[in-house]
Amino acid sequence: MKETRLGEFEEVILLLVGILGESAYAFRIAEEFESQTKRAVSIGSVHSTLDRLSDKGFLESAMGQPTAERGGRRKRIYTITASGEQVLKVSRDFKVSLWSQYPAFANLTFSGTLS
Amino acid sequence: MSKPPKIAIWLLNRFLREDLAEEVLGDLEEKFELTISRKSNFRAKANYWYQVLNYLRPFALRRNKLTNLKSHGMIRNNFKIAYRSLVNNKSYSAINLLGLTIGITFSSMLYFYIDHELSYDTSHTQSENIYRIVTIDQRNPDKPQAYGQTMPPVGPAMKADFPEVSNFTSLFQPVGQIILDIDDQNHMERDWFIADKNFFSVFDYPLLYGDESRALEAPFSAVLTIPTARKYFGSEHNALGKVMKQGDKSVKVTGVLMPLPTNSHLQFDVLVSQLASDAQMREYLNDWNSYGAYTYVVTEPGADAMNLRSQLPDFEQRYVGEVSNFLDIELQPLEDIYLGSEKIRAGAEYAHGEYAYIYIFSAMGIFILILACVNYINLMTGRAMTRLKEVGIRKTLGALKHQLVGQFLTESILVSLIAMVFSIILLDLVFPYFNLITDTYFDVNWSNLAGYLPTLLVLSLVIALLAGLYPAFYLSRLGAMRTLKGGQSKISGTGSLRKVLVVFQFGITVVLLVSTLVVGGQLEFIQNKEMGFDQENLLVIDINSGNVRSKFQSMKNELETIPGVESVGVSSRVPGEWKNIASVYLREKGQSIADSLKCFFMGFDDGMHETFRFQLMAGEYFNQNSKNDSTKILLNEEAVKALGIEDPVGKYLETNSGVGTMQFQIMGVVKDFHFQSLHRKIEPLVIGSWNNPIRVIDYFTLKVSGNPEEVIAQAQVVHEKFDKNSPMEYNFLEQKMSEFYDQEQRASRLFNLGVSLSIIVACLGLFGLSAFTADQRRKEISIRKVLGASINELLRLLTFSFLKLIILAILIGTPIAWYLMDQWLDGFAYRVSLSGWYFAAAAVIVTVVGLVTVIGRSFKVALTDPAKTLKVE
Repeated sequence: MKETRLGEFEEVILLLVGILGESAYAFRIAEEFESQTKRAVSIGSVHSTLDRLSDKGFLESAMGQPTAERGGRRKRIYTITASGEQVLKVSRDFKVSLWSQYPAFANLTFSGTLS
Repeated sequence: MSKPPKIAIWLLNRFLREDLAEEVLGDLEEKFELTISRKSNFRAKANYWYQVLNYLRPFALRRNKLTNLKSHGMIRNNFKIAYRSLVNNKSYSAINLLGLTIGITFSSMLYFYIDHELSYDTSHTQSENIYRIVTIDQRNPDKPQAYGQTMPPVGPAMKADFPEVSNFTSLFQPVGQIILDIDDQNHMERDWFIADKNFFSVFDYPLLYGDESRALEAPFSAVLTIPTARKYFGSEHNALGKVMKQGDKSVKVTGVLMPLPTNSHLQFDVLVSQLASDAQMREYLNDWNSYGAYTYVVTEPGADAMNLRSQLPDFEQRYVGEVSNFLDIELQPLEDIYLGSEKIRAGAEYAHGEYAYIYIFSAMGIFILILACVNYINLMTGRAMTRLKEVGIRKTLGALKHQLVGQFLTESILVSLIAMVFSIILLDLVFPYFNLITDTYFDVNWSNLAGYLPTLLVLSLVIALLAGLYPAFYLSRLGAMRTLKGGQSKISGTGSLRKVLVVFQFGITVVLLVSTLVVGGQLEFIQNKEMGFDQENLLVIDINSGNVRSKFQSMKNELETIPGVESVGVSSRVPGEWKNIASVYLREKGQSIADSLKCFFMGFDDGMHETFRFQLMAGEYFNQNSKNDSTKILLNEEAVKALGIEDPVGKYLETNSGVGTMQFQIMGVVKDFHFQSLHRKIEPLVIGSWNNPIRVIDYFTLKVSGNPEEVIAQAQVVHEKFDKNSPMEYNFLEQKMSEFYDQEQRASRLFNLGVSLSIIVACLGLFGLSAFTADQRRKEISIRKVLGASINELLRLLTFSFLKLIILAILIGTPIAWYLMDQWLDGFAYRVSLSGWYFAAAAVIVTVVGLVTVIGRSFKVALTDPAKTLKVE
């Protein structure tokens, strides 16, 4: 059976793929990760996570069109699959449920929309 | 336009799956371009390598071709043979493993330590672009003095004048302590700053509660650390919005900080935005004549700091040219503050490191690893005889040279990997003790050890190569015929190498040992040096309120009546002072301002003489009845000499103050005493009276003869009467003074540990080698014994060759140690002389330990019954 749980890093990468949309390829994701989390990460480790997420069926990927920059080389663009979205929702719901059980935080309201 | 490094691309293409090549090369190139535009060419190349190496991951690797299967099997076989050889020679394996484990463990510890020292202030997003403004006083061109503070308007002016400067922040600490009143409970804080609203946009000190962008915006706002918030309000969760009293003003808590990193040169408990009125603050911030701002500027990414520096002289000319043209300002990189501030006074930092220690400890870590590698090389080549048959048979069966090399390398890799595993376990066990030795708090646990693992793995492989390469080539070079002919064939070539290596090992040991002895000797010297005043049993109580200051005489009288208090002195600063000492520029009456001499200044009352027991050389000291003493001063001998006054008593000196010139009359001369740490020579000192116009009184000093705890308790009662607001702050002078030498103490402890371990490792090697030599000569010894040689003669025979090597090592190591230690001692104004005793002691220790090691083993061989060895043939 394939492992279908998400690690913290995996979850962040998956979300970033969603956020970046059309420009979700390894380099951009790594840059976005660094700017959002202030943590350094190598492109290799992002790539390896993207590969693993694809194996688990949470991501799909296809080569994009060649552009003039980066020596005319094509990019591999990743998109979230339906099961990828599902697993993100499960993960969020689980955390929200944990938060609501912690008395100190129970009364906090979350900004943003909850579905 | 610069290109990514070719070799890295080639390497990437070698190992990367073909189908990934296009996207990966593209990504890395984009990263490369981005790094060039943001940072530098060099950084971009380094980063490219880093990225390439980070693609060494299972998913990205090219699948092995079938041809590799065979060598895969060989590798397994290699490991099997290596394992067997380790198990078959348990004692030699143990020596190698023990040596390498000690080496890896100790050097890992040093690595953590050095890494911590180098990591100061590197964690802010803008770390690389932040500079502290340092002010340099050039009045004495031979001895410019740098200060970590500058004029308050410098920050804003730089931002306005230089497009390269994008932001700045200034911290102030107008008085040493601030008293905050929370529900009528007084708390005194020493580690506090007034910070402007830019503080959080320059530094990344995240807030747990509150908003970084607004926390310090409004006047009378305060940001607390978690421990402070707990102290004031019981918990950090409910501190936000609470109000504290500072004097008659209300200060509101607008933020609670996340724990500050320990590797930050700024350490504080409380930050406040503004405590004075807007008008006062504005006036202060525009005052080019005050120097109390710790200012940090941020430059635009990619801005050329050299270019900015070159414009600073004009900048100074523009603003302070006429008033103080002897002042220069400089930029000090933030990341350099912790290690590079040895000569900078009055910075915001409480502690600083020294590059010298970084070098010394790096060298020590590398040396101990080399010692362990040398053991491996010596034991492997020394035992070559025993492996000859194995090599011969392998060669006859068709093994190629590189396969043999591979096999022996596997052995050394196996040994160093096992040593690595042992080291990891050992590190986990000994780290608490290491923290004690270094006085740092490394939170070493499995998770941050995991971050270190790749480094450790690389280190182990380097060690394996360093140790294994020579033996591997040496052993596999031997011809098949010669090796199979029988055990008689002489192996030549390595005997002298082994000797050189033993000399090398013991040479290093001698250097380390001498260093340890000298460092220890210097520390003892410092701690026992006559300071010129009596520093024992002095209890120093801070004056923290105006009420105490104005009624000090009656408080002093009450303190004097406490049983166990011999005398009480009142002063602005004390000899052995740990805070900044004020200074004053003095000249003989009639001389020009430019001839003024910078002197340290302290105000003393009549009780100080009796309490500190320094000596009076000429004139007289203040006495209780003299009322006109406020403009009378005493000089120390150094000041008299530096001012060049003959017959000083009764003469007048002048200084410039804000209101014009002030005159002082010299009433006496005191014998020089060390009022600062012994890192510094005795400098000119001026002692004014308690009511001098320059510095107010700050301390009571009690000479205690009774039980110190009782005295403290009673002093607290007295203190309470005069100062209801702040708790009594007190220190024992001796203890404070020993803190001057914390860094040396720490270094000395690390040295002791390092030298003990090096001696152990070197002796392990010597033990193995001598055991081996003795075993080899078993037959020879037996025959000599049969022919009538005594045990003594045999021992002499066995040990003499090693003794020669040790003596040679001492001869070589001594001058090196002398040179190094002479350099180190130069950092002290008062130093021990490098007497021959240190070297003699080191030589004796090394010789004795070496001999005991060799004799212990040789003795056993010399005692063996000759019949037993000779009957086997």
